[in-house]
Amino acid sequence: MQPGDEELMQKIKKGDVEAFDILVRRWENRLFKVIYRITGDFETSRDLRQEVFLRVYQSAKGYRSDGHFSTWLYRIAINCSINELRKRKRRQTLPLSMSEFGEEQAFQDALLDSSPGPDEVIQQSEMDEQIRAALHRLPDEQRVVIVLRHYEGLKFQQIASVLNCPLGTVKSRMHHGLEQLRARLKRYCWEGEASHGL
Amino acid sequence: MDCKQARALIIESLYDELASESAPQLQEHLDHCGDCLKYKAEMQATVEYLDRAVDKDVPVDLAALHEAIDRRRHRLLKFLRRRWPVWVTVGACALMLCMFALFVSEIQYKDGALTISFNGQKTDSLEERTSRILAAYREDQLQFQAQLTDELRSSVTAISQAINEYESQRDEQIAAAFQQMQVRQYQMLAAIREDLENLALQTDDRFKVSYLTTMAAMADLANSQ
Repeated sequence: MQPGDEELMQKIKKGDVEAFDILVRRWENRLFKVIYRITGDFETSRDLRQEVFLRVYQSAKGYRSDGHFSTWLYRIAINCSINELRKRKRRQTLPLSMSEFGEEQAFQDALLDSSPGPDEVIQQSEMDEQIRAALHRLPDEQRVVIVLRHYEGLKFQQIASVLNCPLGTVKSRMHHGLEQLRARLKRYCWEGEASHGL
Repeated sequence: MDCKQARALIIESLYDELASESAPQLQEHLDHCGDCLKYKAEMQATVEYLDRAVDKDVPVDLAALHEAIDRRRHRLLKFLRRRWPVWVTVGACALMLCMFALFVSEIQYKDGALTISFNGQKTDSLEERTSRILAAYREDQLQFQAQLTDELRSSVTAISQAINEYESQRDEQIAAAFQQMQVRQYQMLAAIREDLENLALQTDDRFKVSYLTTMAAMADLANSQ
């Protein structure tokens, strides 16, 4: 039976490197997806994920086991991501286009993987880009709530704990964020389904 | 329920977080409101479309991560090594300050002169110092209390004595005044009695003279007749 996150943290506290590796393997993809959906930048997300794991390792000694490891981890990830976005806004740099990761990676995947054809891969890549772009246009706080609720499956109450804000605020951000997504993805979601064949 | 409330609940229902007591109200609203029904369908489609985004697994390079951890761990040591003259100076200053704080028992500035006293005694712990200060404070309080009690007692005694003296003096004065008054009354009574006696004597004499005169006049009158 796999040890729980809290148990692993107790072992990391004592300097167990293997426990840290297990924790990293357990959370690497989920954490990457959260950060990537918030920042919209592949390389930045990889760096930020590494930074989050570094912080976890460094903070392990001061970690108080209260059964809310995931809340603590998401909080670190969200804070790192939001800080990065703020820095980026100050530097006035635009997020990298999906083409840097999406299209190139999609073609490579298509060449390596024989199951979906290149057209399907490109179509999927376009869809990913539409969703990523729509998400990226949302205000940070709305995007964070949507990512945590929709993609991570956290309950509204858990999101309120992660963000340390009232439940009503979380629901309101979710509502406004989804309304904006609805307006932006309208033509892909249902209006264009017939024409795009989606 | 209005459309604004209903739309907020629609979002909750899409994520299975709608409270059971709100579900019938929402359904009732949707049965009568075409706009909200359309809104729900569009939101449902949006949420489903969001699900179409494909998640790519991007594994962590564990070796790079451990390297980064080691780098960060050693960064402080490197910094300390690179700046060792500064740190040695800072450490020496801190040590001197600690020694100074340990061995200086008293610093006093009085009449324009700074006096620093040293002693080799071990510095008391905070707890010991606190208990000592508390004991001294309690002793001061007890002394002050005893002093106050003594002063109060002596002042009460003095007041009682003064009252007693005043009362005895007043009694003596009253007694003397009463005595004098009595003497004066006796004297007045004696004078009155004497006057009365004199008056009675005078009255007797006058009566006798007038009686004799009257009798002589009557005798003269009888003789003349």
